[in-house]
Amino acid sequence: MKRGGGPYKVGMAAAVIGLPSFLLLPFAVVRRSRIATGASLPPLSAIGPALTIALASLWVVVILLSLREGGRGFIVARGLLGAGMIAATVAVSGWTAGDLGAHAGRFARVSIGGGAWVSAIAAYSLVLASRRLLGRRSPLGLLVGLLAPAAIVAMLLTGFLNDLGIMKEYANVADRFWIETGNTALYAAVSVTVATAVGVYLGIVAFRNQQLERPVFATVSVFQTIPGLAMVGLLVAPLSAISFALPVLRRFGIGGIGWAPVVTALTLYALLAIVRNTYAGLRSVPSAVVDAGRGMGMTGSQLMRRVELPLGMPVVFSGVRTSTVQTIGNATLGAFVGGITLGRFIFQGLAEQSPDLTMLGSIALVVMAVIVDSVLRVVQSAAFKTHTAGREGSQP
Amino acid sequence: MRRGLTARLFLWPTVAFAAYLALASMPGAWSTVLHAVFPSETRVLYQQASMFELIGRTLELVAISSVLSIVVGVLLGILVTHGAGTDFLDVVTDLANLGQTFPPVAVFTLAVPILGFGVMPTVLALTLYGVLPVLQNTIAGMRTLPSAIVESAAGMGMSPTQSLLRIEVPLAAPVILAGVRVSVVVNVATSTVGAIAGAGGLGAPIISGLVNADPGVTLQGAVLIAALALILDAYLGALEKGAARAVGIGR
Amino acid sequence: MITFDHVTKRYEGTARPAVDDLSLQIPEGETVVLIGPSGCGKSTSLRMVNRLIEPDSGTVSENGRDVRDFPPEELRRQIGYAIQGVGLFPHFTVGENIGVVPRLLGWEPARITARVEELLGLVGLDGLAYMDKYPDELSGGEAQRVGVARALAADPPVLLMDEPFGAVDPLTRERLQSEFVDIQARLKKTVVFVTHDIDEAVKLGDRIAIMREGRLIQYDTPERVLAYPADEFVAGFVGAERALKRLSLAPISEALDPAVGLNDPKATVPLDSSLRTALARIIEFGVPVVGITDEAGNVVGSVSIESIVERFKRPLL
Repeated sequence: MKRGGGPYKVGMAAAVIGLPSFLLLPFAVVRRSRIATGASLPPLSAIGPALTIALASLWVVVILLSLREGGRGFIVARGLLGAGMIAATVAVSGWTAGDLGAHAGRFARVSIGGGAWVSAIAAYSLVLASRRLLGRRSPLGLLVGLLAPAAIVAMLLTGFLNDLGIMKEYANVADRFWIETGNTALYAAVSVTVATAVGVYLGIVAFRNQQLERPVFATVSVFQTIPGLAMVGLLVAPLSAISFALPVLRRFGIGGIGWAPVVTALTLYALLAIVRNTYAGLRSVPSAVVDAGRGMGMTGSQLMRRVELPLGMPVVFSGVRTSTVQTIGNATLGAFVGGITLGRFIFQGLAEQSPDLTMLGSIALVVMAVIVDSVLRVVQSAAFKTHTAGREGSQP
Repeated sequence: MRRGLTARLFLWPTVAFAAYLALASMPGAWSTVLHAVFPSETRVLYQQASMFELIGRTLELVAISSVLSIVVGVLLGILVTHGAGTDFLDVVTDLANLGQTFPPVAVFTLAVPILGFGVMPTVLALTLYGVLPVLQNTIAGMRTLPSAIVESAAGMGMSPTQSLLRIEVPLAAPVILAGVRVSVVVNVATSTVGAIAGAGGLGAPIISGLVNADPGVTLQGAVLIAALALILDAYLGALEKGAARAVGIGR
Repeated sequence: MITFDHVTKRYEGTARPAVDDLSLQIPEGETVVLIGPSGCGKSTSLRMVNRLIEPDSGTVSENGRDVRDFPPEELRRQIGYAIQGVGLFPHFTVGENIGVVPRLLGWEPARITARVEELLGLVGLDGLAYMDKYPDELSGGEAQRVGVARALAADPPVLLMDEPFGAVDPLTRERLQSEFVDIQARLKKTVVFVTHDIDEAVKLGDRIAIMREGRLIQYDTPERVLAYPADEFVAGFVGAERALKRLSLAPISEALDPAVGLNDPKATVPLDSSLRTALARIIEFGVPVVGITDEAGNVVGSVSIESIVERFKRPLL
């Protein structure tokens, strides 16, 4: 590391944002019942002076560690500290939620307040910066990155966080939660699979035939431009008409509501990223290689199967990955047509004005998206170790 | 106008928009068509507001949040690619990439508990989420400026501000505009869902139609917002194309 | 006059300085070529004149004043800057590109237009045709000419050029070099020119500064550098055929003999050529002596292999 002198600006900035937010913004929000309006509590009231000072002093340590950029040791220390602060914030929230709730009655709900959120995000930026400098896949980088998630998972499993409003909502809906999560994954998987099959084909077509390039992209872009909800809305009528005309389809659940309009919409949405990346991936194959293949007597389809597609595959896979993550997010729309996805919690929470339920759905969705993204990135680098043209750059 | 950025580029989007508005002013025609498609339905039009009101509210939401997204995104992108701000480039890029993993609806869930229901949280959610494509594209646009051009600008005696305003931003404009286009389209989509947070707009008939099993109402809302999204995209596409030509790319 | 006074520049994390204790004086109105292998510090030194790079120690001065006394933007507006990629602004016309510095200095539009036309003529481009073209409509050679015109726009006394003719084919480059020599003969700017091509340095430079690993190895006229290389490195750098290069610098007048013994009326060379051309003609026609003609075509003298060798035995002053 060629670091040295001067202050570490990112750390200082994180502290400047994180410490005041922690002290001045609400740390917890207490409600008498799941739909009542909440009282926002600053940290002193929410967690008491001792814990407030403890958490605040962690930020002071960040400032101290940021006076100099320092070498590897400083970088690791800041990263671990950031991860630790996230875990500590969650732990303290969980620890104190029980007492706070007890004062407010039987049905009380305690949520994490804005101050804790901002402080945690500021701490996360320390983790991000640290991981980037250490190398995300290096042992230290992985340690810094996994510390907070591991701690939180441990807290969840041991029931440490059960007094938080979010977990109480979960307790209410546990079965549905896992069904909805599973369905979200299922919808996404089906949509992306179909979209990949169709999208790669369309990408090849557009690549081979210059005249078709514009119409193909134009069509696929139109699907992306139309708002998701509108797409679902547009599909409801035709699908229900079809299912009326051919009642046999109803047996499979195809109809105006249910999974059919959602999965169709999701598939159409997933197309653009895949078509675009297939096209780009095929274009990234060096023409010298293609010429060599032709010179050896390969036919067009042999070229495609044995040379162009394999070499373009990393870019294509990257498109599948982004598409999958997007689709997981889009799957929330299923809630509007009776599809059983995590979107139901989100919108139900919004409709009932129960923020914790909304949070539950959102966090689950985000976590799923992040996990799937990370797994696919690992698969991508493992499967495509060879050097190809057009490799994408660094990834978070 | 600068070469390339001609009025003619905006011809078709304007024609389409005029036709769109004309159609929106004919609820009778809509009624007739929708009744023909859904003979068994009694209600085929959204009752709580006229089409114009809905369109107006959607445009309002999208306009306000897009302007904010653009201002914040471009300024932040410029900050982290110049001078002292470059120390923050990595962190900001990583945070932005992470933000992209979040579906737009997730942003609502943060905004609503803090700000309650109505227009404000929707605008906030739209703005926050819309910042990301603009920010990412501004960063990309600034970083891919040919070094000979940036160096010439400095070497000839332009101050950093002059170089930024006269050379860098105009040359990065096509890329930034591509990001703005994505941002606006996403904003339209998110504002549709925002109807559930009480913001109004064209999402309301869709949601109402789905919830109440009024397919005519659903279709009305869906068609209107789909067309609006396509028209806005066409306008921005024309702007992007004009900017690219003005800068000498892709003639 | 530009002076480097014990200038050093070091980049963090590198073993040796990029520029190591450079002391050098560039006389007014002369073209000084900084040349050396990659990483020798020539481009870095160039950029210290207009403060795109600041030295760690030592001073760079222009006419006795430290360049650090001026605000950087003001300094740069008085110095022409032409680099290899040219860096023409793609969203400005040729006219607007050339007019950038005049506009920064607040000239009136009429004056700017007149100046742009004048400069386009100077670099060999038709003003009316080219003024409103855009950079993407220009060929490589035309773009480099516009780059030079842009550098000259505000009539700066000093020109900094970093491989300005690098990105074109050899034929165009040769033409650009010759035109540069003509323009410089007329304008007499103080030019600091960076290149890695010794032939270009010999052709364009009034003096050559050979650099290596940040240090100045030799600073002299091209003839003396070719004739008396300071060490093995310089000798190797200027190339094995430095004798021939010297020949191309020597005017025929320095080896002119009376017109005697001329057999072949076609074996002649104009008086304004170099001795290298004369030698080539001698070999080409297989004659011991070639005639030297003036503009009218009259034979005014002769050159032989012996006279050429004689001339080269004489030491340089």
